[in-house]
Amino acid sequence: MRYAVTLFAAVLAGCGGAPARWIDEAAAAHARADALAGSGDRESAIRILEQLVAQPTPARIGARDRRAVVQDAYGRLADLALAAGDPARALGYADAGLALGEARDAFTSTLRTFRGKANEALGRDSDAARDYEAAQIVAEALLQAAMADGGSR
Amino acid sequence: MAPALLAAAACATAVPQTASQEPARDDERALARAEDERAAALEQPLSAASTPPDCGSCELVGQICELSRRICAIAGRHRGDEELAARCTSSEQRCRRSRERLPADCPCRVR
Repeated sequence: MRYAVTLFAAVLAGCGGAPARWIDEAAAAHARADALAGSGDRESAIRILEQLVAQPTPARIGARDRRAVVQDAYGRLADLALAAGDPARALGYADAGLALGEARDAFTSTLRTFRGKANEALGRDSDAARDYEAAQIVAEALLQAAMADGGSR
Repeated sequence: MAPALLAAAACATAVPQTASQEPARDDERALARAEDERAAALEQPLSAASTPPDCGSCELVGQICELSRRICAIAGRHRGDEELAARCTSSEQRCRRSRERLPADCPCRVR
């Protein structure tokens, strides 16, 4: 799930032009963020992903695809902020991601989980429980769909 | 009666029908169908036993149950909060339901 850009890169490879460039840039941003976070430089990783979510999206990118790529990046940002011990910042990233829309998909479930972790770290237990529950309901729906599809996901 | 009928059904399915043959009667067709279904049912456990269980959803089930653990840990810190207790109970049901969806021989099913 985390690397939605890889999936979309394959789908959009034939598009050419701005959409393909946008996807390439997103994939490159994730790769750079990986390397930086791996070497312990979380702040630089965060900066790169912040630039990614701030970038304008080419017009030919569908709304759903855009949401997936940007929410994926916000999920990583929230994760990095939590790892850096900054739950308030993580909450901001999770909220920004969820503000793009919620659906029965892995992006919503992940962002809700990070939002829950951030709220829990901030001492907002009731909000955290609500977030975890929302994440769990989506995850259960995904499981149901996966099993109906043959159970191989 | 049953062996005779089964024999007739077997013939109805085994021998390809030619244009010169009379069309099979309805009861013969029904018997043939029943026999096919019985054969398929007998085959099913054999094929299930020869293929490994599909445990690809174990990770997702793990996440579902981890979320339940988190919800119940919060409820445990707030004893007397009925809303949180209810969330904990519902989340445990979701976890259990999810595990039960997995094939019985997946190692992650029972924990």
